Amino acid sequence: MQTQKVTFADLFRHLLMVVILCIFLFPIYWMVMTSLKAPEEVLTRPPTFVFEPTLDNYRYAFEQADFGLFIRNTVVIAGLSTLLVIAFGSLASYSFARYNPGDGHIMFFILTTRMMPGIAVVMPFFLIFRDLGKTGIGQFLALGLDQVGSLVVAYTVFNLPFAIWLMYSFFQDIPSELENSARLDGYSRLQVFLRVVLPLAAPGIAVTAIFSLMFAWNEFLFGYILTRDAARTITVGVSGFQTQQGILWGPLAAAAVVCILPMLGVALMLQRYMVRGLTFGAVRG
Amino acid sequence: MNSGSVSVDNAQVQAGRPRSAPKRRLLSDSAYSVLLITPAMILILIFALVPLAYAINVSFRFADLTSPRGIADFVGLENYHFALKDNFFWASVQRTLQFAISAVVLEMVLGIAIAFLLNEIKWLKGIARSLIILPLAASPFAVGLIWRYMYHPEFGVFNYIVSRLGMPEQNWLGNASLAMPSVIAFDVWQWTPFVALIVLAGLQALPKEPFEAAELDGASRWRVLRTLTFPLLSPVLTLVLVLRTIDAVRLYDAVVSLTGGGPGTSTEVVTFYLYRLGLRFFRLDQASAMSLLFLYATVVFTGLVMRRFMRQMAERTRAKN
Amino acid sequence: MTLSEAWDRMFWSIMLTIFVGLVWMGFLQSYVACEGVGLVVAVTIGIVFFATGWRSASAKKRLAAAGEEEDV
Repeated sequence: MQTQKVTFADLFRHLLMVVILCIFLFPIYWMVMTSLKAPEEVLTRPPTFVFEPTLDNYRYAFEQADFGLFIRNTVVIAGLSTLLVIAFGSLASYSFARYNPGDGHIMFFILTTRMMPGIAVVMPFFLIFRDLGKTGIGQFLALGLDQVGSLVVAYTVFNLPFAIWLMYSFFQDIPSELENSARLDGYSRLQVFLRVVLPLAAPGIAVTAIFSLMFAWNEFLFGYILTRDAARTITVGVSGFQTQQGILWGPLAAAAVVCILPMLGVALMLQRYMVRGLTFGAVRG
Repeated sequence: MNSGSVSVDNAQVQAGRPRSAPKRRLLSDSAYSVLLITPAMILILIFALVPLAYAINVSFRFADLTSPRGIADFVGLENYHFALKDNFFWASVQRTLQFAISAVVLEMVLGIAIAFLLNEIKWLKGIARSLIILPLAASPFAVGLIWRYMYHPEFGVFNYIVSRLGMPEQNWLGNASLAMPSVIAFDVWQWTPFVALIVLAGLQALPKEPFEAAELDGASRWRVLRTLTFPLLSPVLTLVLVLRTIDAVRLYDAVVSLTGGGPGTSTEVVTFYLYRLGLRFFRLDQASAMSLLFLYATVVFTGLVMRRFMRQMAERTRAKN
Repeated sequence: MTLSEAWDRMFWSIMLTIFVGLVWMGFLQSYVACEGVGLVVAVTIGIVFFATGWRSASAKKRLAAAGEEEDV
């Protein structure tokens, strides 16, 4: 690399990349800046770029709504549903990659379950959970309306198709000779899966977990319809600053920062896996 | 399909070296494979088929939640007739297609370009790659509200930039002919990184040999792109196209936070019209019929596009075992 | 015809049936004012589509079987 000469084209490419990055990062920069402005500086014309940062908006947002509870709920819901997605999804995905039950048709069916518009299924979901919440087992598992369990189940169901498709190529990449020789060593099929296959598929599982987590964290519609107070999630909490009198932009920006920043952190830390994991096994031969 | 492990057992017996006594199988391979998918399938079946059955049932009935009758009599195909004749519905379908086609084409073109750029830059590759994915991680609803602030005709930063560049200021979301392009711009901002990431992963996974051979032959860059890169990338491109299209026609969060369907109905896409009809006017029957038509269209489209892809996958599994 | 092929054909037959039914409802029903006729037409076309697939698959199978016998 160092021996190569730096050409004009190289400089141009890097310059272009910097410009593109600036464009793509600007809204996030602007969100953070707005959240740090004093109320009177949020609504100025022209907008100010230099100002004295203050945490007033954050203070106001946390006073107005119980963001601590929202964050706790969201962490529990997103975390549990991700765990379930990985547990159920990896079993199913491995089965499809190794044995192909249903000859591809079940895989396709699973994909089609993602195609129903959310708005059309939210009403049936509402009714299912309303009735489930009244049963004993539903109460035990917190599967009623405005309870965390129902959102855990809803997000698990939504993420499973994507997870199964995403992990599929990772399981398929594992050479079957490895599995066969483990079988010869006396491992049972389940042991082969747990001790040989799963560790090898770890990058794929990581990328799937990141996407499941992000989806559950960022989801709005179901969180909005299925919860009222006790199980409110952070994304729905952000909508609380649209009031009758208008939108409180400063506190809203602060709430949006609280909502978005954790996932940005996750994405930054784990981006290596994200790039590697995203081909769905579509490139090869 | 399951001949792989069977032949291993045969090999074991023939070689006469069973390290441990061959385990007696409680389950055949195919039964085992079904067992593995059972937990996921139970969840998916319950929560996909029950809502589907509910929607099908309601779509053949009269269901106006504001009337005391609630979900009532069987009315045959009436709701479907209504859906096919409803001009608002078809206008929203048209807007959805307009949105989906513009947004997906822009995202594909820009995403592919950025992926090539990311693949070719020398310095700061890792940092550029980490930063470009940030829009993807942001909640569409929350960041949509921020964009609404940025689009604000008076205090918004976009109008400031536009006026500094010497162009007339715009009422981005309030102008009926500009609102849709503004929503498209937001979607392009959020999802171009997704396309770029997948294409980049595809580019990095390409085999080296054919490209080296082409270089030896002195093939031009354009020729390499046309005859090697794009054909090899085409499965990835198909997949990302399908995934993005499925998501784009289901656009909802961004419309809610940016425009709420307005001004007028200029950004009212299908999902938002369904929301208005079903959860505001409580005509669940008509909304269900329309969402089933919508589901039908997406399933057929995906089925046609994915047919070849599915067959390749099945063959690959068969070849492996 | 294997189960998987049959399912595939079945799936597309149903999709075709729905399509014909929708076209009937959308365009033709204003001329032929009867829902029943449209239903019958749609289902018939679906069944015909499935049957042709079934027949060509079994014909292919017979051919393949004949070919194998010749090889032996």
